[in-house]
Amino acid sequence: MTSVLVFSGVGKHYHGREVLAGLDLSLEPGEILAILGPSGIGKSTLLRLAARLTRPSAGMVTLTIRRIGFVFQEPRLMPWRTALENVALPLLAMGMAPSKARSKAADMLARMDLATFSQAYPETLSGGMRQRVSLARAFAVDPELLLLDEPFTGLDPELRLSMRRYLDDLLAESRAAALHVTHDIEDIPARTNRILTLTATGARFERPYDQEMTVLKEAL
Amino acid sequence: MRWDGIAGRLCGLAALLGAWEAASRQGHGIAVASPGETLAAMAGLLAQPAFWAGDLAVSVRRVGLGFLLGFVVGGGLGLAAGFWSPARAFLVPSRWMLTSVPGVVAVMLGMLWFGLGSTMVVAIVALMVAPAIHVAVIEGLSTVDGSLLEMARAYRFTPAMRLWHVYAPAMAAPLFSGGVVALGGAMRVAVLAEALGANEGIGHALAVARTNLDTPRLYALALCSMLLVGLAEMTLLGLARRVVGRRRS
Repeated sequence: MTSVLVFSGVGKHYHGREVLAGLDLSLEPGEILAILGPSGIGKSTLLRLAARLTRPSAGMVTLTIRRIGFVFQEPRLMPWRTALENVALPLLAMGMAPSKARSKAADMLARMDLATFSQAYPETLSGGMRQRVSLARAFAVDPELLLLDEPFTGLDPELRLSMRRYLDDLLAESRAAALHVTHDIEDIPARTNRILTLTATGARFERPYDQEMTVLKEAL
Repeated sequence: MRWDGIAGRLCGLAALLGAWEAASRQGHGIAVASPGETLAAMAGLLAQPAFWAGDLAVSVRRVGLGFLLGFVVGGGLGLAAGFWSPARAFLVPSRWMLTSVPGVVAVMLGMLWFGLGSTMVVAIVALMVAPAIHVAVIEGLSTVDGSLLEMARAYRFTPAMRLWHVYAPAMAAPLFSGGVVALGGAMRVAVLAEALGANEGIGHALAVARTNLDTPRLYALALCSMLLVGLAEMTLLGLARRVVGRRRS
């Protein structure tokens, strides 16, 4: 089976400051890898490298797929476009016909219980609704790789719980491989296969989900 | 009654007309035409097909062409400067020169370079408009939200999609405000250029009225050019409010 994503000895530094060094990882189709670690450890950089938004300073990133869904910490919706248009635009970028793109976007919004808000502008939506639109946008492209960058940051506990349910359901239906960055073990979906823990000392631990969760819960 | 709205404006207009009327009574008719004489002369002008076709239409066409040319050149160079900092640095002296040169000097030089007539007026208008649009485009590009650009890159938006969906909305507000200022300036410099070096247009008609000491006509033409600038600015501002308002709604 061809890996969806391979990091071989990847390093990244910004203005002389090393953020990542010698990182090796691979992700198989449909596999979910959670990445845990404190802030500033390079988790978001890892996702940006995976999405080819930045180039590695060392090593190589190999991406064998084309369709990527990216859920950022903030929803990153275009304020001058409706919820429907925000979800449809990546589909248009993929070359989908406008009518089909709108129809698929409407389906995804309905899936996120946002059907009645499809014509609403982001400014008029709550924070949780905006993040659901962002989730709809990521899954609308039928991603082969899903990149989740602490998507529940800033949401209150009730909304976090609700967002986790949406994400769990969508991941269950999707065949996407996923890299899920978080610093909260509660946010890690139950269907996660492996957990990679990055530490401030540079040490890294990669364990199967059940094993790592046991270790983490014991540590707590 | 709210004095910070229409009522305040109407009072200001009435005070202006009153001061104008008083000034016309104090002096003699050659220096200041009264509002009544001016309005009568304006009615006479508007009744003449030759004024519409020979002066008004010619001026509007020249301003329109010059504005369009300045918009395309200034916008193009603004994009180049916004995306590529060496181009921005390279264009600073030219922009500074064009924004610093007084309108009358530009017209004099334009007459030397392009001769008299439409080409000169259009070129001068374009040269005056281009720097304003150039600056507006650079300012607009600097306000583009980097996180939205990153999102667009993550979802593989084409360059055209990025320009239309991310850059253009961010540029709309500064571009419209720059456009309104440039359009007002364009109309003023076009009238000046026509007065000094053309044989058609509102500016030329003004110069003829001044030579003939036809003060009411001169005032009527001045009022006409002011109304034209006001109309153009209102149209562009209305469009700006609709476009920018819709994008921010």
